[in-house]
Amino acid sequence: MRAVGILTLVLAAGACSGSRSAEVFVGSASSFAQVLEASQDSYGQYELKVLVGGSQLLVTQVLEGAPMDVIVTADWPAMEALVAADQVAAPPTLLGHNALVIAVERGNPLAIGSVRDLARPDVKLVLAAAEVPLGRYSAQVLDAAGVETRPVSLAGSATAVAGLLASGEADAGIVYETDAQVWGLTGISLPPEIDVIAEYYVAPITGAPNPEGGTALIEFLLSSDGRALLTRLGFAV
Amino acid sequence: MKRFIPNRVGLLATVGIGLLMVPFIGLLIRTPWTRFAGDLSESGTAVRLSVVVSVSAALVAVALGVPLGWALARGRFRGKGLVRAIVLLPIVLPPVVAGTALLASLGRRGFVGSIIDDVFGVTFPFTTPGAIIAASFVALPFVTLVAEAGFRAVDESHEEIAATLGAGSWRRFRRIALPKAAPALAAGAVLGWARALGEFGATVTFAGNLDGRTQTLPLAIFFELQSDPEAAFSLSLILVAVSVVVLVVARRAWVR
Amino acid sequence: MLIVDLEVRRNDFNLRADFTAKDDEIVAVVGPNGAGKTTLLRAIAGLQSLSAGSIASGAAVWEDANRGINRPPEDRSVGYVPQAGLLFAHMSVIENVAFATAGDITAARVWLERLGLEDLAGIRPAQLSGGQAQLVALARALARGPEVLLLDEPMASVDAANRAGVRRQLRAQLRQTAAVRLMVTHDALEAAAIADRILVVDGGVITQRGTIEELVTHPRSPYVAELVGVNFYTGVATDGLVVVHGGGVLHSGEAVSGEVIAAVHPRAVALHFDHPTGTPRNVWRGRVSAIEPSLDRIRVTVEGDLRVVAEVTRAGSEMVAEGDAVWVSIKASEVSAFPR
Repeated sequence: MRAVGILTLVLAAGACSGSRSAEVFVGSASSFAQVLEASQDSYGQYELKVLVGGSQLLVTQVLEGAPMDVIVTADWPAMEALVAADQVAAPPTLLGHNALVIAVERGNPLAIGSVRDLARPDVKLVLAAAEVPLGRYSAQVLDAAGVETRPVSLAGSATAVAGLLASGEADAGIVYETDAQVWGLTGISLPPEIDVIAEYYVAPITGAPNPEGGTALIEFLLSSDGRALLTRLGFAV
Repeated sequence: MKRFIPNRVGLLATVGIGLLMVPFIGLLIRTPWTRFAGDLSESGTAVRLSVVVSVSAALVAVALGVPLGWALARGRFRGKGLVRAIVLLPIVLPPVVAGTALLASLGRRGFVGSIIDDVFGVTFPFTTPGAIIAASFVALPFVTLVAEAGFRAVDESHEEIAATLGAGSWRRFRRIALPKAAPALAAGAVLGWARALGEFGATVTFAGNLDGRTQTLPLAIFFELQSDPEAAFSLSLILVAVSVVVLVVARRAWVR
Repeated sequence: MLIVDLEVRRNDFNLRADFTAKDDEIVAVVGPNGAGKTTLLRAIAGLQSLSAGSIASGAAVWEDANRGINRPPEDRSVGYVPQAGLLFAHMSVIENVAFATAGDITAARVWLERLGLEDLAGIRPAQLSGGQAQLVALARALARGPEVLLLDEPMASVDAANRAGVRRQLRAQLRQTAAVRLMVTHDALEAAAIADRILVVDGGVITQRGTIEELVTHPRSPYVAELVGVNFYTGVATDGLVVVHGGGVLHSGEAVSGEVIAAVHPRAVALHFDHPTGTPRNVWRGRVSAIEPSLDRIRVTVEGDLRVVAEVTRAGSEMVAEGDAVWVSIKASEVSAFPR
């Protein structure tokens, strides 16, 4: 039901200028944004306007009528909500994968070695909120490891978690491998039996302001050039 | 004699009130009334936390803002303009910037926070006191400015006479200025409280998000919007209703 | 004893005052509006800073502009009764007085009793009449036990019906108080009734000081003459014969010479329809230009060689009308002439 448009992200500008065919509006899960920023140079034809946020928030906005050409989510459930509401113009495609790691301050001063250490009372743990894909993935990892934790905060997006770790406010968290790299955090890999592979999905949105531009972007991301870019930035394709 | 507001002004005024009312009407329409009661009881924690945080923040803002307002209204000291500019800052800044500034100073690595951590082993981020600090920070300017205006409006001659009767500045403040400015101060307190209740940016940045400890109602609404938008509408309506009730009650008390 | 030697300079205004006042006398400060009387009181109270000079009460220096001393009002032993009373509206009468006794209700009650106000103790100021409010304000100021008591036009907010009674109370209280007492008033009658000594402030300076008798017999400015209701002339005298500036001659009983002020009380001016017989040395013909009632007498203004105001009985005034020609006669002994 496209009724009253709601929220805070910078979509208003997009709504006004959607008629200009030179721009493509992409809603992207925060952990994937770096790929799109890097795409701009190789991609060239259209100007990419990247709207970053938790996947869930972006989905809600599309459902409420925000104008977007393409959406990239960090897991299937988020994309599924759009499919169920008939908001995708073509079936979603799997773009790539990301691994999860435990991230700590560079140098690992608290000597954290495993998931079990995250439950230590002296460790300030930050996780992504359950409403975002990373939050769901983190819960899966902790479940599989049989560890119960008491995080001090549940952040609204993957980058928010990484930010808290980078600024030193929190001691440890679970983030995407790519984010750990970008933010300069020390990553402790998870044993394969509990590790969860994050899946990124991309789809064009129905009623998009610039359908050709959206399709062109998706084609680029699935092309060999696009795959090379993803690999370079740490995603598995 | 009936007075007609000229057409153009009336038209603009109507647009203005319409702009303000349309979102609330939308909220009323979209709220899922069938599950409202359920949403209400589930949001209990967030509501309670919001009340605790906003009332505490309002008390802090009043305790500090009223004397500050008096100093600005009556005090004779240099740099008053600078002080007033600093007081205005949290109003002008985006709340997220306020939250970031609080992190930089009172966070675990902040120049004040690190000292407090070393000496007392206490940090503010991710705690309820942290949420109170964030809310107080954004509420304080409102209370201060309304208090200053309130004291200014009070005729200084009564305080002068009090001085000739032997009252020092504390006694003049407490027994003369305060009672006379009381209605304005009450309005300032309500304004500060309302601001604290609605605070989001500074709270989520500085205090974080954990239900029961730092997830106040605005934060709960934001996160709920991402998983269960209908619940978000219910919670938003609750927040609007609580605010309306308090503002109406406060205004009645003030006008009287 | 209050020792004042001060100067207050403001954008639009300048006040210079230099006097002492002892605690065994009541001093009235009179002067036209804007002369600086209120500024003087406020400066002594500490509500207005000095541009130069000093104020001291006994051995205690309250303010000294040269030495950077400036005690705030709360540190000066002063009591101030403002024009409008300025009682604290949110406190009852006794709470107002107790404000000055640091909360001592018993002491406050004593003060209310002294002024006969004990029945008003629990009442709010809004319900008091102008006169009652002024007396409460007085009690409040006195309750502080000040060394210097300042009153600014205390009768200004008292309506005519109550004025006499309130003035009596005021006089009684002031006479009983052992403190330097300075009272601003623009009413000569009030000054005469209550004060021992008068300071005339005009245009920011003290133009005359003395008792009421001195002011009446030797007014030094038109303002004072107007104030005390006396006919006032300036001129050059030669052994008692005064040639008045602007025309006319007056014979006075005093053998003065040089620049003088000559004053004649209206009661000493006699009016006749025919040329008067007898010895008065000041006689001339004039025309009645104005007839004004004043208390229980009538003041008749006569234009002629000199313009003069005569005070006549009501019966006498019924015999003259504006425009009538009359003869004026004044005995030389009633003309007070003194050097300027």
